[in-house]
Amino acid sequence: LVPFAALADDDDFDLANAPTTPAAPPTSHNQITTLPLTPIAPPVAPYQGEVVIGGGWQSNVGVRYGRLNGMVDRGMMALGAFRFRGGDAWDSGETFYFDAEAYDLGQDTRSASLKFGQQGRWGLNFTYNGMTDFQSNSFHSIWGKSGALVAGVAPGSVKNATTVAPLLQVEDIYSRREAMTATGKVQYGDWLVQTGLRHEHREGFKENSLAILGAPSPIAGNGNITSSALAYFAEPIDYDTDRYDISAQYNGRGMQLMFGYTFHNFRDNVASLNLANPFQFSAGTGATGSAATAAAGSPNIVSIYSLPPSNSAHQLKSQFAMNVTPTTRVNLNLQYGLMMQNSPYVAGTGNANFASLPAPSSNLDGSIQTVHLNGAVTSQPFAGADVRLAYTLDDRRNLTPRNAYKQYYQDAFAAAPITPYNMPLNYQHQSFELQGGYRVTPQTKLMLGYAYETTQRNYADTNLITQNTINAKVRSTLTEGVFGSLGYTHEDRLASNYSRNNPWVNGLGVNENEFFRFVNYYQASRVRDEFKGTLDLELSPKLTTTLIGRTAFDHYPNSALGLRDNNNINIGPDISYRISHDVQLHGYYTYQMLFFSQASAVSNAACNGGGTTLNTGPAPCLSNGVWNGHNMDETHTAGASLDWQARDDLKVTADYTFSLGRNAYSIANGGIYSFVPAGTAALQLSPIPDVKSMLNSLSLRAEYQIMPNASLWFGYTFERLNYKDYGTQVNAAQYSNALFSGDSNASYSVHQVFGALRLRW
Amino acid sequence: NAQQPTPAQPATFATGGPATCLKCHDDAKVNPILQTPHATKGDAHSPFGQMGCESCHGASGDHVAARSNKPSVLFKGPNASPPAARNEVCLSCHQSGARMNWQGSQHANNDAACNNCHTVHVRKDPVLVKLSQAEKCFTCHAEQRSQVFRFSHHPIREGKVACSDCHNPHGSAGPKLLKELTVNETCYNCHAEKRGPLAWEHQPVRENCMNCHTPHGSNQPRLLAQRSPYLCQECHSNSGHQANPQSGQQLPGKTGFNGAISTNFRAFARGCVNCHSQIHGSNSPAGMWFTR
Repeated sequence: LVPFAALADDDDFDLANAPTTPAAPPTSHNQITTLPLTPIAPPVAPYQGEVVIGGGWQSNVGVRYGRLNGMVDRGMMALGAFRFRGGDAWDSGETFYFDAEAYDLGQDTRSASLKFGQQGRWGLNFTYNGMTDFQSNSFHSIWGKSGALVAGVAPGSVKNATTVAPLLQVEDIYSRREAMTATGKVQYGDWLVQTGLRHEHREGFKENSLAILGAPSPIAGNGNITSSALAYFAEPIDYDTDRYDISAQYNGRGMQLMFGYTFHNFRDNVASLNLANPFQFSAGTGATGSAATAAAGSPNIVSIYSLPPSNSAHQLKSQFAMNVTPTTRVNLNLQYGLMMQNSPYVAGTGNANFASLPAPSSNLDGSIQTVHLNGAVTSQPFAGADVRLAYTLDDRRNLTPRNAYKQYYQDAFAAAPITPYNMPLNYQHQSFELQGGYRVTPQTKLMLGYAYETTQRNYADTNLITQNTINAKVRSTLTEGVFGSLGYTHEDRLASNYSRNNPWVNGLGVNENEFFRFVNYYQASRVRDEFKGTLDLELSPKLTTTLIGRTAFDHYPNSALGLRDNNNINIGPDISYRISHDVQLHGYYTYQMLFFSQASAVSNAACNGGGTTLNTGPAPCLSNGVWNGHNMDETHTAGASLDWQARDDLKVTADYTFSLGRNAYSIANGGIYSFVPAGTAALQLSPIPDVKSMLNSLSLRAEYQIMPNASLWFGYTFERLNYKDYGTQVNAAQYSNALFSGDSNASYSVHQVFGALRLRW
Repeated sequence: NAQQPTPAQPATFATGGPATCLKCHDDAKVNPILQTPHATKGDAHSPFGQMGCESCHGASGDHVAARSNKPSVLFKGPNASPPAARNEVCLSCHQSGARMNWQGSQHANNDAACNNCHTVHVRKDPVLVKLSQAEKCFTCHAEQRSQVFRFSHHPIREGKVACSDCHNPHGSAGPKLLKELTVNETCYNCHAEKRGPLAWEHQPVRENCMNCHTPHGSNQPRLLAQRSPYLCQECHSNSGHQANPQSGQQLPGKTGFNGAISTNFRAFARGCVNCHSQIHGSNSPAGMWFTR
């Protein structure tokens, strides 16, 4: 999705780099390339320059098309790029060099860099990079970008959200990053000192949503609605991010060292957003709380939404490596990190009717220490054999104070304040790995491995996980022109010290004990089997094919609820064919299938205490109701490319990609469990529409040389996305108590034509 | 071709250095190297500051004497030297910094040679250019190539993010050849607003962003592994409103699972995140449920 991807890259699409002799055919899996990479050198000149000036035209607005490349709008666009490079001649004995380049000039994604120095002594490098994120040109909100309610809507006035549809503000939601870096290095003997500063500013908006929690009070005039109100808003982004690095490296023949320090600083220039409540809530609903939302209360509700707090982090890094013998190498990586955040708290509530509940302190005083340690010994004990033994520690120690935070978690309705404790999360992950390889024949290598891992956590479902992994792989050249590899991995993860959500029960004061056979999926016991394989066939010197496949099956044997199975299949061929000296074709196809199988309980007042507490025993609550959900996520991707040197002065390339994605969901009765628990109606389920996306993308590029140092570039891109997603195709105001973003369908169909003049000297 | 025997070791260097080689090899496939750092004679660390072409290709006096005698290290073609022999040449200079963990790494174990990815005899190595790097990686990583064409993806197709922005293909002390030592440390480099610490932490977020996201591309919005609410229900499935089924019955115009008018908005738009919009964690004193 770049008009001329090669403007700053003189290898892929460059007449001067076109091959004059057939490239050597790939001889192994790792050597198959999609384009020949055997360029011709121009005459060796100490200084070279290149300028590209042109323009383009886009046929339609394409928000999703231009989300990340900035090319959203219909109409004309300017294109430009340049590159100047040079320095002392290679055999002059001097080492000065410089290289300045810029591309995507005229676009929001423009980039530029300048580097110069004396090779082997010092160097400076400056870069600039723009990036876009265009989310929507049809975002609806009852708040403007300033956070104020739109004209015509008074606080606490909306009884039915469908009536305000004409008043909603329609906005572009867009943010842009601009990153600048400056790096420098000094080399002295075997020592290299490097330093760098990166500053990024990101500004704009992103889509977000706010629940104004009023349950169980009804919204006035909407007796059927017994829950809360919801509305989308444009969250302001005004971030400054800095990173400073300095390191010293020693690069000896037998030993290498590195010491480094990195400082990260993130500053959010907007601390919070105060959003006045547009909805009118009923009077007298705060029976159990404070003054609540009395008749005149709704206008007083201001939801205070906290934005990402400014933070900083320090990292001390060290690396050590030594060849202790000609065949044995020792590596040690150690990193200490400290993350800190101490921004002032925003107010817990903006409801003027609520009694103030001060936070335990004015700010979090949060800090987290991390320690990462990795040590490895790699050796070739005898001919054809290699062994690796490694230990890794990943430790996170959260030093943030633990306090009681008395709070209303609802703005519109104040039940009795709750007093939960925050839970500073800690974990420690350790792994021991042993990997060995042996070349059993000159053509065949066998690899075996074993890993033992443990993870300890606090405030978790399971405080301890142990995992054993074995893997085996064989790589072999089966016969001339036929290479294959096959690998298998078996992983057995066991969760123990099961605490059944007690941390939450005890820490938050909420009554939410867990079903006895449920653990969060990433902490639960799991068995994984994974197979990988590749097959390379060199059918002729001109024709090579590769078949790559991978499957992984995750099963959660102890999870009756939550994720129970997760499978992944990937397979597809890749073919390269050099038709003639001047024409090369490449094609591929990939199929990926992701499958998720999960189950959940149905909350039922008769057995689980008002839908908040499931009984702990196996009976009778097991029969209350469980539903099963399946998600089949399939993607077919196919691509073809042509690289054609049509004449000495004309080169043409074409790329076509097709991608078809389909998500199929099903939710069904949980099988052995009844869906007709006492006191409730039968469970009503209906199908979920498939989510489909189909991408067609065609790119044609040509370069025609009109003079020795001048050429014309032509480009054409066509891209069409057909996207159907029930989840995003929701009108902004179709519910009485919710206002959605109402974004237009993401589908697009865009044609682009480009032309440019390229001058080189 | 890891199994090809290494040619016999010539004993002597060419007397004229690079000039000797260029007598025969002064062609477009070879001489662009003269515009690269490898050929800077004034830099003692550069190959041309040492033995010229033979710094990498090995002493080739016998090859000069008779073309049938191959140089001791061949990087391409049917007689290419084994990957280990080729890599040894590169590692003799490039063993520090980002390459310090090469030995025993995934690519090394799979007999990847440096020149499977790198092209030395060009003015600018395509794998070092952000716009062209991914194409090289996709040669082997077809699954990731497929993923970057999906509805939701990082700006890899757009040339703004390269594989090496997150990964260090030369070996890493972290998982999946990541540049940083954990997944989250890698993500925080661009998404620093997620770093925290925060008063209210969502545990899976703090441990691994990939508990919910799949970074190379997804058919779901926001690079999610599954869409909400089903993603959320992989963990929140045991009790309360979060566990209830969200079928087509919860879509606009339908009634809820128990026959009443649907009063929640968990089945569409951002699912659970419609309300729990601070799902990465909240620093509001009232942010326990990630709504503020």
